[in-house]
Amino acid sequence: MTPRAMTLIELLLALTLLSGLTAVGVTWTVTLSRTAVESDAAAAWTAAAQSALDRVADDLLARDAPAARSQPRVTVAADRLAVLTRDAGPARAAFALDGRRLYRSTAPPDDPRAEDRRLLLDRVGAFDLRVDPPIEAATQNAPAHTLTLVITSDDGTSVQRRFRLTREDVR
Amino acid sequence: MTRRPRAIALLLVLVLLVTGATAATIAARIGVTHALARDTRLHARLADDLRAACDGPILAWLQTEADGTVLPPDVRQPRVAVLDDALVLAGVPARVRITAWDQAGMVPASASAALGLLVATLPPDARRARDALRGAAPGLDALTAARFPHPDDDRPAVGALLATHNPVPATNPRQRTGAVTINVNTAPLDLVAAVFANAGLSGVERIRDARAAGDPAGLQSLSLGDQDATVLLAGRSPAWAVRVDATVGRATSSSWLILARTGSEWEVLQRLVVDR
Repeated sequence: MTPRAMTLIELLLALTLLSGLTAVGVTWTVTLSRTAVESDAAAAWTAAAQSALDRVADDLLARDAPAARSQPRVTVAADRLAVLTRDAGPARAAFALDGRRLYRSTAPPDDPRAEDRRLLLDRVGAFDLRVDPPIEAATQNAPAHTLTLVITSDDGTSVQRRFRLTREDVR
Repeated sequence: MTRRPRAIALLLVLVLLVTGATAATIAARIGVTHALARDTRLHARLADDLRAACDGPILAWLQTEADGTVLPPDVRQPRVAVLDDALVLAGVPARVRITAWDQAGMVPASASAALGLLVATLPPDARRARDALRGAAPGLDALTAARFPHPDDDRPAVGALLATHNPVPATNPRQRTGAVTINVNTAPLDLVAAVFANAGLSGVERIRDARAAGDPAGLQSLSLGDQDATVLLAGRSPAWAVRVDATVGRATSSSWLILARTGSEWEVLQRLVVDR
């Protein structure tokens, strides 16, 4: 068999085929990379939202002994959570949405005007709070209520955590 | 089969290999990232639950063991290992450690100038921390760094040397009542000697010898000093600080509790989060 060179038609055909395959490959890789980036962004938002929930957990944990006070330690409104906690001393911490941002504000319990507000989380679509009563009759030391907190991003990703509240928290 | 179709097949296989490998790599990375994040969150929740379950063992120790605690005379901090258990939670290795520090075995952060000899037993950084704590509502969170002692620390942190709740505050944290208590069975001997020197007493050697033998010092409660500098020497403590470290997998949850005696019971006066 005598070797022969490729004809112009064959070359053009090969080039067209290669271009097509390359285009498909590049499109596929770009799509996957975009998916990966979106996944990373969602993971980063989820991690930040979990950190915000950690902050809530810390504020619910830190406390001084129950003082003789008329207000409950934890106050839950539709989209606002307030906790009497510790933050370099006794403090009232509040978590609330302002636009699409979740903020944590702290102030000494006896001086609400000295408020320090910090951004906790951006791109928040919803900040939902719900307090459920105990399912069974609780004993004196058992948790009295469950606080469910759901943070949803503006693209629909959500994180949720439940916190046990004592009788003293919600009295 | 001619060479042309073979070449085309080879090209197709090559392109498929490249795109397939790229897709597999990216998919694997996304999968691993999500799995790690999910595991970390699960471990963190389990660690929080494990830490929260430690109140029972702490109260049991306070009710049954705390009053009989005698530490060797050469201790640098009034530290007692209450619990150190390894276990498996949901198939993940876990460890829970409970360590107590006697508030009556430390220099009171609120000690008046008349108790200068006690303060003199502190290292310089603890003295600076004492200045920062004075006037603040009691709590180690008023300090910015190196505040909570760790069970493994040989060099005691500020929280192992300065008592935030001695004397035990009244319900209103700004009102302090009662005298400073020093537990002669748990306090570093330097501190006990300083109390004796402050009151012009002798007899530290008897306490050292008793503690070296593992016996409690035979001491009735003794009140020393005047109104501004009253020190109650005692063989048991009205308040303990307790650190809980719960580790599950890669996550650790730690808290710092102050518990005080209220009659025959113990009450949690304060809970603080140890920095994550």
